[in-house]
Amino acid sequence: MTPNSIFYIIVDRGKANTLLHRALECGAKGGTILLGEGTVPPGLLVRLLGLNEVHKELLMVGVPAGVDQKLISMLKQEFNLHKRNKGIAFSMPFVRYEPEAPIGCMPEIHEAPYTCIMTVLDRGQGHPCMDLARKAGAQGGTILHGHGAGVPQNFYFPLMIEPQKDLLLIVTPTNRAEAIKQAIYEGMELGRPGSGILFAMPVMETVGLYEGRQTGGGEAK
Amino acid sequence: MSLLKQKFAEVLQSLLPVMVLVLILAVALGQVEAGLILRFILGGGLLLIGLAIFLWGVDLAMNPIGDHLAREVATSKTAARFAVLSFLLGFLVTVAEPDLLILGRQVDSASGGAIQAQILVYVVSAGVGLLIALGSYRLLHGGSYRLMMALSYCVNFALAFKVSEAFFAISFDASGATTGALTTPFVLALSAGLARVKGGRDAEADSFGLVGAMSAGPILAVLLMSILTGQKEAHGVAEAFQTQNGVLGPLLHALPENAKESFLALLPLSALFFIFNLRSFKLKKRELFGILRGLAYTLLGLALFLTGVNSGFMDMGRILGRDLAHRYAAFLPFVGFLLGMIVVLVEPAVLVLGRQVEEATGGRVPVKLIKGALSLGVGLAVALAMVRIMVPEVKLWHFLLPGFALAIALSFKADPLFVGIAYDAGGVASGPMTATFVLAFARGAAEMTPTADVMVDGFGVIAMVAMTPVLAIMALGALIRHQEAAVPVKKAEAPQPQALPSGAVAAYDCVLLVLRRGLAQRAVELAREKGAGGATILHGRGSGGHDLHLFHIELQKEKEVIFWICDSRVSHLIAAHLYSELDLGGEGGGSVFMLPAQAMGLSGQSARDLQEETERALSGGEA
Repeated sequence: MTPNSIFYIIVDRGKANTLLHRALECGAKGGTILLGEGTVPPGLLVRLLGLNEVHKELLMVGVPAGVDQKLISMLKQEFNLHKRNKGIAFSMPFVRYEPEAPIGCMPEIHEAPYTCIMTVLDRGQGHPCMDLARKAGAQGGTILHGHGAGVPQNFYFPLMIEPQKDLLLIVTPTNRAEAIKQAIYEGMELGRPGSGILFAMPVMETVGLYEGRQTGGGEAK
Repeated sequence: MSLLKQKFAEVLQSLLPVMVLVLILAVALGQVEAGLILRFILGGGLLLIGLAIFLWGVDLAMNPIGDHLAREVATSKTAARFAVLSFLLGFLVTVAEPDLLILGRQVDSASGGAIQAQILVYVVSAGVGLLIALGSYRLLHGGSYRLMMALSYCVNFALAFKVSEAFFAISFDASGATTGALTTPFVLALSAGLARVKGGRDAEADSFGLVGAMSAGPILAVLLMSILTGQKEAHGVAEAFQTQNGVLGPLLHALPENAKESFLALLPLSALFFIFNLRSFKLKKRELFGILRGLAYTLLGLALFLTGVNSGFMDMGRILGRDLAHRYAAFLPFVGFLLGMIVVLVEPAVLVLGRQVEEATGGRVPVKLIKGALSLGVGLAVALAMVRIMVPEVKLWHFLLPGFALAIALSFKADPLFVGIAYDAGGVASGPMTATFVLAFARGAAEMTPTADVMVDGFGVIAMVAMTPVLAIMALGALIRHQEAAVPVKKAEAPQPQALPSGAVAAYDCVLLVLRRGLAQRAVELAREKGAGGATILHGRGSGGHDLHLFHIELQKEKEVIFWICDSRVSHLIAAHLYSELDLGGEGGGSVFMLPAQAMGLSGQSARDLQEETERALSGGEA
């Protein structure tokens, strides 16, 4: 079982279908598309008028070892991902569970160049959290809407209330990750039970992530 | 692209064909004054700006309001509270609908004062409230949606045989009038909110159908009123159209009027929301500000849109209808078909429905497919309405009865998601564009056709537009169900039982499970058995199994993506358990991934919880 990589590709709504088809042709092993929203750096006017709503799609594709470079060059050539505002892509090592495969050969990554910070928060907290992260040096982030597992409640209808969640995804150079994590942890009071969790995963390859683009506002427009 | 820009692009795309076709017709007929053409173009501009802002406001305000109120309704502790609250919601959104009052006045004068306008408004609103309560009960309690809809339409048609044709047409028109530009997006949001609270396997299909349910209410109310008051005949003439003159004058004159109407229509609903906000939601300032801002956009957008449509499009529609009927009557059904097809795509509620289809199915069901069916349906409706104007022997119920009968029959063969969307489509398609532009076109045509009755034929158009999209989308749903049945399902072989993992690596893993929609709750329970903590569930779509193609448009599989953060000592245990219990080896069944995650982010209580869970699972596994 070789370390494969899972590619996360974030593009404007509507582009992910074509992308998935091309990725499958390149040798990717299936993909899943999620709807998300981008974050825009806060300008006073932008925020006041509510212009900070950007719709994105996130495509997750599993890519076997060896195919990743082919996929990256395809993304650059056909979708111009290395240019600004066309979207970003990044990859993480993963192991797909197969019953026949041996156990316990998780790839060991100590010094990944980038880190993906995922924060799971209550619905509506994604944007405030992004503001905090931005102050600590994050360039941009993408918010996905999800929900927690249902909890049975004592209502007239036998309902399981599913707590609605925001999942904020930030990719950053590893040397800045610690500061961002600390800022989110303190700012969002994650030490308090039930307020949310934060975890970080190693990122091996990135496309379209711009460095030092303070004015451009990260990967989201 | 920002959301607002996206809305502009979306509206422009639907509006351009309408503008081009109407301008070509106007020039070809050569009888339309230059002033009117100019006003039409200005109206189109207002429509573009207004509709884009309106849709943006709906996203920012209506959806969260629907969500919060749905939660409030669903979490009622007693049956009485649920009944009162859901009835009130339906009643309040309808009672302020300006179109309904206009209809009430028409019925008032047509019945010679026997049915007063205000009474009709209350009765119809009560009908909507009743059906919203029933529909919400069905949604939350579970039960067959198709059966409920089949029954309500059967009752409606049984009653319809007792009333005159004029009242029959009015009753269906009342249904069209209640599903206005504000009501429909709100009820759509309410339905989606209720489905989200309930969750589970049917969440996707449950997101639709409440608009369809509520459309049956007014029909029932008007029919009952006609029978109970003994009012059989509606005489009188439809209000004569006043063609306005000038270019800017009518637009400027209509704007404050439309703004006032929109404000009044929005008021009861917003008031209810703010009362509940004080009592129970207590939203944070930022969110509340966002909703208020969204409401302001909704109001501004709606006022601009209605102004553009009422003063720019209505006169144009009527004159086109008159000229065509006068000079090229044979072309009426054909032109009607084209107009209907493209005009429906500028209907605000259609755009809102499209967005909701995208959200609720995670983008799985292409909006193109739904819009295509809607378009065909409405085109057919307008064409048939033209035939009815030209051939007086053809009655309204000749179309409505078989149409609905076929739709109901098909609903038992169709994919449940499409059944909900189909019944909604009737209310969604008969919005302000139909009530102004298409209706004006039909009345114009009827005025110049000596055999036509302006009142009966005019009313009938909306009823037709409320029926054919239901049929069209139901047929689409049946087609999809038929195609799906042809796709073979491969069963997985039973996997080998797993040995317990050994070794203790003090690190966390992120376990990522991608699987078919509807199994998330089960997966979370399974993972918990093996020591996983809380999970986060996302809705998505993706490849896997056989993809379904229809007219070269791809229908993807609905997926759920579930994240867990757990100790890497148990991640394989969890993965193995999920794999075997959920039968993931089958084609398109799903996959489990494990990604290394850094533990330092996990902290405080969560980390301790996770440790306890893990230790419990490990000791349980060994024992």
